[in-house]
Amino acid sequence: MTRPQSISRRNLLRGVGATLALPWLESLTPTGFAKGLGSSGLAKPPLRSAFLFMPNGVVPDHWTPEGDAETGFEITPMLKPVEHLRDQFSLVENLWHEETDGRNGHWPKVPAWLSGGFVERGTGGDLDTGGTSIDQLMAHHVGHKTSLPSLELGVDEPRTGIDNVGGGFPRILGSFISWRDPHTPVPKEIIPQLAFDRLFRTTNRFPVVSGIDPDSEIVKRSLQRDDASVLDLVMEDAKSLQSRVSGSDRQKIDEYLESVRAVEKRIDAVMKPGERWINKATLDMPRPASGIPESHAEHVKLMLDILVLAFWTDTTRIGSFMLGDAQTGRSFDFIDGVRKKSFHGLSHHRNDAEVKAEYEKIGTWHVAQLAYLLEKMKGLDEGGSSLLDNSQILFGSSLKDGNSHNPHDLPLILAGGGAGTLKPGRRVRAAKDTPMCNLLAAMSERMGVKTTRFGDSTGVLSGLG
Amino acid sequence: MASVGALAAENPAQTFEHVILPVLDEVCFDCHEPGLSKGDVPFFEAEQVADIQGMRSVWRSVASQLRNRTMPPADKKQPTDEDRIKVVEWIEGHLQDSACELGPFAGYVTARRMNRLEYDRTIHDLMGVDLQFSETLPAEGGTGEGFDNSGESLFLPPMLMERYLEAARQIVDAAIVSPPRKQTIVGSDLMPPAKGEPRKYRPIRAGEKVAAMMSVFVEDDYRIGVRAIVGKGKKSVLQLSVDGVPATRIEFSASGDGKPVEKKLELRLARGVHAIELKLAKDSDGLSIGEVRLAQNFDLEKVSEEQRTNHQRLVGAVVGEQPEDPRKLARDCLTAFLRRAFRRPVGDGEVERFLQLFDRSIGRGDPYEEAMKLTFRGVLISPDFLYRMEREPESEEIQPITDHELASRLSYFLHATMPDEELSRLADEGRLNDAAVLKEQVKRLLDSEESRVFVRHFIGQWLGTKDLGGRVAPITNAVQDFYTPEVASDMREEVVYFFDHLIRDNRSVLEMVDSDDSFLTRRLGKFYQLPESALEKLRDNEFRRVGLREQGRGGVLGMGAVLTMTSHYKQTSPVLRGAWVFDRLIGSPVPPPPPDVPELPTKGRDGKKKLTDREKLDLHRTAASCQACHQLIDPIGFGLQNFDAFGRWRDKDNDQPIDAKGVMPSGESFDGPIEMKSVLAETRRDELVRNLTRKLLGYALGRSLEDRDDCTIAQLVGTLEESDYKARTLIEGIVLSTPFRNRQAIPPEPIEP
Repeated sequence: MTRPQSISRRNLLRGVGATLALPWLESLTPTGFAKGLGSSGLAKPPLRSAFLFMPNGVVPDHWTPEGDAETGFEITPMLKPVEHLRDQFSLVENLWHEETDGRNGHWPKVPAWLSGGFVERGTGGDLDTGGTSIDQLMAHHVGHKTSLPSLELGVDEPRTGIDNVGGGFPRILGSFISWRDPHTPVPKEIIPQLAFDRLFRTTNRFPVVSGIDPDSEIVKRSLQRDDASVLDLVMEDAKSLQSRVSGSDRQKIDEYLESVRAVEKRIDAVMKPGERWINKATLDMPRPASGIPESHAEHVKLMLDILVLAFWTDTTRIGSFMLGDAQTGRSFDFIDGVRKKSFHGLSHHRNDAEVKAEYEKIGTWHVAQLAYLLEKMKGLDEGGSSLLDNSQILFGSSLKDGNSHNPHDLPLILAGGGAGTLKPGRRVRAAKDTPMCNLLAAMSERMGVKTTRFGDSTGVLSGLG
Repeated sequence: MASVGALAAENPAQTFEHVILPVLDEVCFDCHEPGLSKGDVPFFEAEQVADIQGMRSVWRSVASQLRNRTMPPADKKQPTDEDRIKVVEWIEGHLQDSACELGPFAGYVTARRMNRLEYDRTIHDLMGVDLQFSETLPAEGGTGEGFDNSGESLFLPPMLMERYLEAARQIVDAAIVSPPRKQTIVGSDLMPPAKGEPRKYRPIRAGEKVAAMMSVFVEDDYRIGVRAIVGKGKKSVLQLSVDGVPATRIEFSASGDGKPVEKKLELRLARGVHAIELKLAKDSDGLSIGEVRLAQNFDLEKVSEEQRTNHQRLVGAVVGEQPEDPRKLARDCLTAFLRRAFRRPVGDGEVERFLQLFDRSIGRGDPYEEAMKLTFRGVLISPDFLYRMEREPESEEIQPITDHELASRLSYFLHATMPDEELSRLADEGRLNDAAVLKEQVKRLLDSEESRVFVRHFIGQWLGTKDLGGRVAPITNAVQDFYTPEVASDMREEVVYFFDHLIRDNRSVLEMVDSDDSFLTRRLGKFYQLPESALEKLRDNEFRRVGLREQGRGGVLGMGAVLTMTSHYKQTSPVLRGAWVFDRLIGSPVPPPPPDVPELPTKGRDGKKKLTDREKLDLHRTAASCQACHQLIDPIGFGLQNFDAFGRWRDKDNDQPIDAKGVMPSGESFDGPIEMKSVLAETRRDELVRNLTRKLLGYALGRSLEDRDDCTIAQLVGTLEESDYKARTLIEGIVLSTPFRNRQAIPPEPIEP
């Protein structure tokens, strides 16, 4: 037997990239979608929102420019990596979360970063972060428009144990910025290959062939609908359980049912895609190798690529990415001039000039990762505007200064054109100690999710557009 | 606890009001006035002694902060030493005396999703396959007592549901052997049908496209054959696509005798219906397709004996054979399977429900094996399998859990997997909740090799040593010659084998600190630079017990894992080591350094002499804001200074002899690790034992402990003291305890939206 060009999935995925692959990846060719199932594309690209968290704060005077010029301000040392993109982002200043003031240095500040909530002490049995994060609120309201409501990415495994000095904070708090509700974190994917696969999982749909009606009995009974029928069945099972339990068991079953529904929705979205944005050009990205890359820089880059791919294919419009967990002990000795020491350790530099310089280099490296993302998104055309033009990307930390845990005037960059609603390239200087929730409410409003009050917001931050 | 002094004999209400509160009012109230700040520790909310009962952990923290002198802050008013000790001893004594005041407490264990270790091990026992999902499922963060088996933090987000769905498919495909798939589509069945009368050979024109709908059950390599007739002297090229994705080109040329020609190729196909599309190239001559065939590249002969046995156990039929009455066999197999998967007897209704999936599959003509696979997939993602559900308690009264629930609790506690046959049988017979039977079973489970998994999981998380070699101490060029991944792995396992031995041989739990022994491989022995005579008795891939008193080792404080984990890179840290002992072993962590710590001097007062680490720390301890904690933790670290940053012995550092002397805040002095460990085990014995008890109880129950669990802890500690601290007494005591065998409803607490 001759073996002409066997298309092994592995080869295809490695060689050609995700735009051209076997059935389970086929939906990635967005034009195929439209053509096959007669779904209509959107008339203009939708707005996407991303939230990028960097741990351990910055060196304040090397972040915030001097003076008060709105434009043409000095590019400070830590902002150097995004200097050539200065017309693509604004610095948003003087925002904070009042509920984090005077509390533990790190743990409560992480869940609060996107929610503004008051994080209760505890041992984890009764997690209460006081709020739902803004990305999850957006996903709750507009996430159904895409096959994935939202995408959560990171690089660190969640922490365990309790930091139980004086009542205690579970360390798990420092591992999540995305919270489905005040009690439930949304886990982040940290393995690139799995994150990549997640974009395309459960997308195995009946092939589109002329002469076959997608609503026919034959399709409903097909192997492709097996996942859906399995989910239907366990849903029935869980519902019968639901009626028999109460209290925290009931919460567990509710959570289970909600997840089953979410997966069913994804499957339905594949069978009957709704209106989505279809980019004409293709974006090639090889499927990442398994495991976590040895190089941290490579790891972060892959996760950012996946975020871009998810936005570009309109698989989701909402993403969060933790470039590191609170108090990350990761060593950044791959950066020139940084010793093999814990990032968190170095952040408490005690004003030792040498240590402080290392701390700053690590922070600046994180800004360089933002630069990579912005460049990549700027280079992707969506029919006259770039993916970056159609995005709002919040990058920053939950501390101004890692050494003193200062929670005032958080270091925040808002990048992208916000689909015409943002005017980047400026310093947006709010009044001192303005709730950061005002900014989050402003971003949420742009996504079509209006809130009368979000966290401790006192209004919607103006001056962004 | 021996702190029940003269005070306790008096009326506790009086003492609290007239002796204890006045001291605290004097030194704590200014900062801790109730309502002053939102996140404060609310111990002053206790106005009468009875109020302490509702906030025992807060008051325990008050006692430990006072004892450890971490409160009040050094720059605030301090109590006299006499007052300090009086208050601490009264609080501790009162907590001890009042532990069982409210009676026994069982608490409520939330439905626990299996964590990834339990999932892997359960899948192995249930399905007979080992697919290592723990590598790719998202890691669970631990809450409660800090373990990843705590139901409260075992969430099930959509992302995980997707994974379980996919894992279930992989599992059934690995466990159950489907007959090799073969399918033939004749020309007249190609889509779209040809116009006019259907003909066996379907003619197609240049540019025309036809598709054969092929379904495959298992992702695998498939041979595709295309049979066609080409006119004499003609050549044709077919473009083959799979579900719209171009795959390859097939060239046909006439055979000369007008007979059909068959061309073959191989494709990798996922489960599902696929459209094998054939498009005749534009400039080709027309041809007629006779059939498209598909055959799985898989040979039943290659199925191993082990796989066959496992297959038969699960689906009741020999590999490759179709049963005579499929639905009856399916029903029987499913009933047995559900009993094991749900870890309890199941009702007919449940069996029928899952048989719907069997019917769906059989109904469309799938083979028996595939129908069973689909049914099992439903079971493997059902809540009754993924969660350990316990029957809802009927009241707030303590009531025993069922024997089957008890079997699960016991099995997941000591073996991290589903109950085995013996436990299931005892539960079926209703005999498990008998103290004598339970004791016997604890012994049996602990004697089994499988209990090492429990030790590894519990100790690795409690002491934090499971992370060694991971993010704690990355392996880099500078040290890779000696600190290899194998050494790191041996270090992690040293801790496991040591505790495993304490339990297996029922030794005193105090040996965790005060022991002369450990367990080493030859590789680790070399790393620790043991003399040749000692190395001779060791083997590279086997842990053996070694007496190490001469080396200053024995117990966890002489173990490379602990010593490395609590060091900076290439540099020891007495501070980290001391803090670790308080955090992990003693269970009263010291506060983190305050923000904005002033810069440490690097030179002496004369501005010339370069200070040693010890001198720097000595200076540090003179600063008021640092003093209290460092006086507490540094001495322990000094006692361990003979161990370098990787736990190797050293007599000198930078050509200076090591000074391993220290004085505990309570006054005991020591020189070197052996003396330090004895002092520690002596002076902190109650706290060490109490903390271990607490951690193990939290792990066993899989929930956060509450104030009312103090009663169980006090009883367990009491029994442990009476039995010379024997490890098995503790484990047995936990299994026999009220909260392990019972459950009670908790009054619902409204949760704000």
